[in-house]
Amino acid sequence: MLSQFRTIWLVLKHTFTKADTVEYPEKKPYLAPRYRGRIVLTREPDGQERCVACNLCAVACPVDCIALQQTIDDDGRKRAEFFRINFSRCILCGFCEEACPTYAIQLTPDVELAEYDRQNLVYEKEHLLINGVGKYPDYSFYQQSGIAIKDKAKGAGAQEKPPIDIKGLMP
Amino acid sequence: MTFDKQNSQVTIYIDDQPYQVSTDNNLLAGVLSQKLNLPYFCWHPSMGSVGACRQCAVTQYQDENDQRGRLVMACTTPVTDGMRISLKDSQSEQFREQVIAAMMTNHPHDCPVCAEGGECHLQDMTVMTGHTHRNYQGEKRTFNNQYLGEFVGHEMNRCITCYRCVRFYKDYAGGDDFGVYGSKNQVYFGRQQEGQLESEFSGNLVEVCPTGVFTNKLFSAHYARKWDLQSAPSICAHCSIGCNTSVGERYGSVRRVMNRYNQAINGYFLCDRGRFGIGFVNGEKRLRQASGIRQSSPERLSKLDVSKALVHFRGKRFIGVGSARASFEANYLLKQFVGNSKFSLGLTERQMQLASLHQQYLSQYQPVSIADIEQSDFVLIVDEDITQTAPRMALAVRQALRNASIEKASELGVPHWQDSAVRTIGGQELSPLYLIQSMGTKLDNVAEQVIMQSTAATIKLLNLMTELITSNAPLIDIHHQGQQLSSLLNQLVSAKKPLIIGGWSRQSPQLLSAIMSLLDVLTKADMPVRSAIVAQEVNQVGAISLLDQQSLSVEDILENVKQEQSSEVGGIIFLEQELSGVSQTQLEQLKQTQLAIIALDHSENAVTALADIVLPAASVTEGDGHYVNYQGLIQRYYQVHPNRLPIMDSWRWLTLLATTLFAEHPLAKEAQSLSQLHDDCRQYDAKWPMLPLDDHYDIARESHRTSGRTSKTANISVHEPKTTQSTDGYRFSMEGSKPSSTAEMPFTWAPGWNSNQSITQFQQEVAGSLLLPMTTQYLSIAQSIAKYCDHSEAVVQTSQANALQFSQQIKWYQGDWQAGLTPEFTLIESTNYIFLSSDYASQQGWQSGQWLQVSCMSSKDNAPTSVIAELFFDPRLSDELCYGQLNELATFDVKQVSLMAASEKQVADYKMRRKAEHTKAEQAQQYMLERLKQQDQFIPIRLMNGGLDDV
Ligand code: SF4
Ligand code: SF4
Ligand code: SF4
Ligand code: SF4
Ligand code: FES
Repeated sequence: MLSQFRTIWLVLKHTFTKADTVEYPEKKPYLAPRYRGRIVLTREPDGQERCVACNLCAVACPVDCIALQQTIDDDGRKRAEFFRINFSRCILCGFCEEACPTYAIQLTPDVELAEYDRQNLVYEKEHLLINGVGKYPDYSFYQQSGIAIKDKAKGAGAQEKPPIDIKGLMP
Repeated sequence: MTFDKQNSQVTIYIDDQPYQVSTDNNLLAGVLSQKLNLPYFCWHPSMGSVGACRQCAVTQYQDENDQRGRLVMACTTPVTDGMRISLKDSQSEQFREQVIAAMMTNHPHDCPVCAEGGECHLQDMTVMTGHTHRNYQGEKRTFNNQYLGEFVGHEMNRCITCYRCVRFYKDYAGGDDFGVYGSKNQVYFGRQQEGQLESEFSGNLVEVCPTGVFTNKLFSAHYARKWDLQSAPSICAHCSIGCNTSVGERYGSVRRVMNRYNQAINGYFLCDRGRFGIGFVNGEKRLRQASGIRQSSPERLSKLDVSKALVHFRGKRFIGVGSARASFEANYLLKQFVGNSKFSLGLTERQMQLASLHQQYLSQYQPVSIADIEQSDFVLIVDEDITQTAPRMALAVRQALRNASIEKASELGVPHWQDSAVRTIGGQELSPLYLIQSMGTKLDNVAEQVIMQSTAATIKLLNLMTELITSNAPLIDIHHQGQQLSSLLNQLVSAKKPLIIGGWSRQSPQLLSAIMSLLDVLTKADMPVRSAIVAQEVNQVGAISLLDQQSLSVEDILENVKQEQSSEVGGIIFLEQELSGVSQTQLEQLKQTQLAIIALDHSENAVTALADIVLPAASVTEGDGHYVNYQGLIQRYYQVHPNRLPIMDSWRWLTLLATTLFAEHPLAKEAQSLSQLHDDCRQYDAKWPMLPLDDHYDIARESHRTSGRTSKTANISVHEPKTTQSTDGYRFSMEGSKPSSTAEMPFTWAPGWNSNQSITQFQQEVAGSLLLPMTTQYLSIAQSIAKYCDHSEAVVQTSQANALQFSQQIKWYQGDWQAGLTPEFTLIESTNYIFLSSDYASQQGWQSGQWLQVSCMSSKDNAPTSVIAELFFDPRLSDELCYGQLNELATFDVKQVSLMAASEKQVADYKMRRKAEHTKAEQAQQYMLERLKQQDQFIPIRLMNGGLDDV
């Protein structure tokens, strides 16, 4: 008898407490900036593509869902000729982001990756590339690397001495 | 490296464990031979030690009780009985780590954009020493790069000053346009001036350099990481040496060629024709569709279409023209199907004589291997520029010449592997090399004597030598046309391991016959003479082994064509044959004939242009078969990637044609795989070479870390296709047995060793034979064409006023038709030049550097009658002899030329034409690259790698 009253009391009490359920998709939950969702390719602070098509993300990927091909453009930069992620395979593990030496590939807190047709989960470079730096505001790989590109000659990078004059006679 | 092996094994203690190590090599080699990990940079298994990098430090102890020990450089320390060393003690470990740390102070932050990344010896060694964190925060030294030509990229910042490059380029390969400049932290490795590297071995810098300073430019332009390449063991298809290669493919196109270690042949090095000449398989001239056959379905050609197209020829006889670049299997099948009396190799009468002599030679002698050439103590090369026609052999000859200094050093107790010490002791001392030739070659400056004379004079000279040796006359003070011969003869008869090299390139049967007579008398006199005859093309020896008395020459075929009405012949089948020995009029004759012409080839040429039916054949990288090298060694090449139908192996096409055309023939059934074909042939022909085709393997062509499997075809369909099933023992997949399950490794990789230097892990001992045995099956060749008899025709009489005897220099990049299809090789083609004796030139009042008009009398009617060439002097030439490179005439047999000064306009026209050609080649290269990149996204999907209907 007592227990029945207790049940009624608890039910009535819960009618007035705040619900735990979130009204998704009308209400979006908070996901931290480092949450591992949809993958993007970011740009350097000056707007250049960051990805140098080094293939490290692809090799780190445990499900092999990244495919790309490198090309060398006239400005001396290496870029991806094509860059494809098959999100129907991606497990959002974030290994690619960890492997990336240029901070180009980053995971975002967007987890809404549902499609009626699996084929639509194949993202090409134009779908992946965003117009921003993502989580790393000021890294520019080419400034750290030793190779020359247009507008950055040999020895003009960070922590570099000017090129050696090999015709010089000084020891 | 050459040395007499004592092969004495002693016990040494490494970290208190006993090991059996050979005293023939240094401690580093000993440690590596035990498959232990010890980092190194400057030592190279073929080039020995210099002790420049200090990376290979180990601690050596006096005895069991010694606790302190001292650091020694393993690569400069000999192995002694009972020695105790440690690799694991903290002293040497820290030292090695600090050496890397010092190198890293200046090494750029380049790995992601470095083409070496993923197969970088520096990366491997850095990981091996445990140097995981860069401590240096200061500024880095930088260098400007040089343009080193079309093939090798330069990124000097990455240099760790190990000196391997310059030691290879100058000391090992004899190049003189590359060096080391500067001092202390500013040492620079490059050329005095920017420009194309001149050595035909420049590509080895890419593999020899432990870092990414030198990279393969053609590969970088369409790059893939080593871990992403699908590779297969292959054979270089460019010359008769048959170097072993590993070819890499990604997304359906071939990307690069790397060396595949074979101790007896190429060892650690390839020539540039082999490494950079693979572009033809992706070329614009490739045939990708059949023509002349009505296709019932628009999607694909079916077997039925092929038999329908051929059915009305059933019962007719065919002439079959094989070739020296088609596989042994294809040539064999063709001969069986058309019959002995209708088989040809497209050789001219004169070449048939050469073939007959070559058969005779091979039936009597076993040519030396490249490794054995390095052991020679006397080399005589007769009128064959092996630096261009068989470059890898020339590299071996260079090593043989070092034997004198190695011996001298060993008398002083300096072992052969102490490279710089041996070179210092040896000085200029070289083992004797004699050159009797009609043109200058790159070996001239290391030869003891160069006898420069016409081929006709060389034949006389050889005959004289033969006579002298037969007559047992004293060999003192012997002259021939002003040339002192005594030292040549004396050294030849007294040498312990003499070597005589000749070849096909002068196209002179008399010359070959004279060489063989000389070999005969030397052999009869029980002298230990060894020899090699260089053939022209990759499978030339395999092809000529099939010739017999009834085989047809080109002239016979044309005769047959003329009488077509009367003969029972219905057509001609050309097997990968471009008929380079045939003139325009003769081709015209072929065109006019009513006979059906069926051509199988991988690229367009004169024959496919006139054929009624053209069938696209597989090139070496998508084919499966065997080539027979200059020694008669049968070597297999495997498919690197599945062929795109209707491209198929020639042997598949031939069996398919035979099911319609030669249906009664026992071999006229389609084989599902190469091993099945071999089984069929073995049943049919008892003499068929017994080759162990180890198709029971299941080796992965891809590395275990290949990327993109679930994505590379996702743009076509998100559902991943099954991998293509194969029948050759290797899988088109990352799954399967490891590459080292066979001696024919698709690529070399070992844990911790990502670069090609991992090969040490698979050798019995450093630079020795592989752990698993290579199949070494030689073709037994019988003389089946009648003995060649000397008609003494070709010694051409001067028939034109002031005509000169001319010898064409064919450069390594022009040596074969396939090389000519590579756009990059057109880019480096040098301008025409001609060398004359200075006397003759001054009589005519010509200056060096002046341009001449060269008129030629060619044996073929369509050769241009005159070309322009720049004049240079060679004081060794006699007045009636000249040599040079006349590109327009490269494929013609020009024996005589007459010269006159060229007008300014002619020169200007010539230069303009060359510029246009250059631009065209550049565009072709660009276009090809763009096409390949587009193709990357459309990988063809095949389930079964078989014939036409196995999609
Ligand atoms: S790891 Fe980064 S830079 Fe390299 S290919 Fe991937 S996204 Fe591009
Ligand atoms: S040479 Fe090796 S370590 Fe240096 S940048 Fe290239 S890959 Fe990296
Ligand atoms: S360029 Fe390469 S091979 Fe030459 S010294 Fe530098 S690191 Fe060594
Ligand atoms: S062209 Fe000849 S020497 Fe050069 S790699 Fe090929 S087989 Fe070897
Ligand atoms: S490998 Fe021994 S010092 Fe360089």
